[in-house]
Amino acid sequence: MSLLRLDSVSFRYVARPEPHPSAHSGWPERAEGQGRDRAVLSDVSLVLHAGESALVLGDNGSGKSTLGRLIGGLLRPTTGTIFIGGEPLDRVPVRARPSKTIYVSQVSYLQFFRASLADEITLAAKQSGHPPPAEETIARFSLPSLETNPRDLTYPEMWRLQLLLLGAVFRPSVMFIDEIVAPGAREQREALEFTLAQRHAQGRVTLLAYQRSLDTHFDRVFWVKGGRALGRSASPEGLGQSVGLHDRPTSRDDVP
Amino acid sequence: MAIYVLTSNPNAIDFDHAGLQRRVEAALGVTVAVYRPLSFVEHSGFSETVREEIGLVLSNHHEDQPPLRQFDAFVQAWDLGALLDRRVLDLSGGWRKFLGLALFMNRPLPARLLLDATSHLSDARIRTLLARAAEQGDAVFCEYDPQLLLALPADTSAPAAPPLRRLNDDGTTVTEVIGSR
Repeated sequence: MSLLRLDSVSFRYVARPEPHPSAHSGWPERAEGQGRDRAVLSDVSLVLHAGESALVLGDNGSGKSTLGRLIGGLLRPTTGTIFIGGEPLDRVPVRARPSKTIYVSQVSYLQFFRASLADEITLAAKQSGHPPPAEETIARFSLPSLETNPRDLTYPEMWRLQLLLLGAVFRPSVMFIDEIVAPGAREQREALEFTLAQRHAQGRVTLLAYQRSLDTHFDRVFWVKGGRALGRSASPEGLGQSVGLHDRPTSRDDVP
Repeated sequence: MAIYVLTSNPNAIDFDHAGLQRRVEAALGVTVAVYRPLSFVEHSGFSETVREEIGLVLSNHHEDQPPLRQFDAFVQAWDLGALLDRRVLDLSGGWRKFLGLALFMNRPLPARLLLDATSHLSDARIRTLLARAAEQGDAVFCEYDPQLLLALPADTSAPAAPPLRRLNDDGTTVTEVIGSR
């Protein structure tokens, strides 16, 4: 059975009111026809089964983060339905959502609340209802002393802490990681590959959005381009091979 | 004019950027202006749309330091035309960062030190950034993952990317890697 299914999901950002009259006159005027509602994703369908991982590739502004926020339940599709474990996501009570699906934001430093890594882990365990991770698990994330204040971490370390808290403590059925910082760094790659392996063994689905291919293995690869999600085989020889995740045939020309 | 990729202890980007700046300035013999990202908050806060943000920054350059490009040329050079009437806060994280970088690069400066400039940017945005960086002054890129820059695939449909020279920071001195020129 599919653990994550998107059925013809579309999303459109609704335009805000006209920009306020600016005191800085003399700037080039608004071009006619711009500033309207903006369609970001159009008729996206995809299926991921228990234990599968997927890399979501796309250029800046292609809709990767919007797709992640939809899958994480932070945005509602304009049309179409997202199913988690066969249940429509919009019918899952908000309190129950963190066990079902989580969007791992790019802005990791805004998601820490306590004065030490140990307190962050304790808080995450309490909120999720899961026991704190074992020391061996924490060690896989190459973090400094647990007494360290999260705000004193480097940017890549913050990313790893976020991955530990959400992936290894909350353990949602579906997790969408919006980008990796410094994927070439050994510590980053090891934390990611440990997370993917652990979640695969637990039968959970993991998606990672990024701008370019990674050496890390993913079961599936999607390209987000022109508002569409195009499915691809993850095998090196299969980049031109549609795996039928979309209702349209795809060709090598679709690859950005 | 040269573009350097500086390999350093990643902790220096977060905790020793002032020392890093001093070492780079000693190596290059010039004062460098530092770009340090406020991830995803690359916005003055005084404007709403991209058009307004660009206009605000261009109109507030010091009279002794006019922008390298005025509005239309700037928008074209940085490929921002399609975004002009979008709210800055509605841009994707990568485009918002790119806008802030573009405005920084539009200042007339003899040398720049760019910390963590390329994370969250696609290869296409990085190529544009490198092309603009090659136009004026020296640029030193210090990244968490310098290989992303050094192994940037060539775009056969675009002009060749400028050559990248390599610097190494051992925590006390920045030196050019032998043979990187």
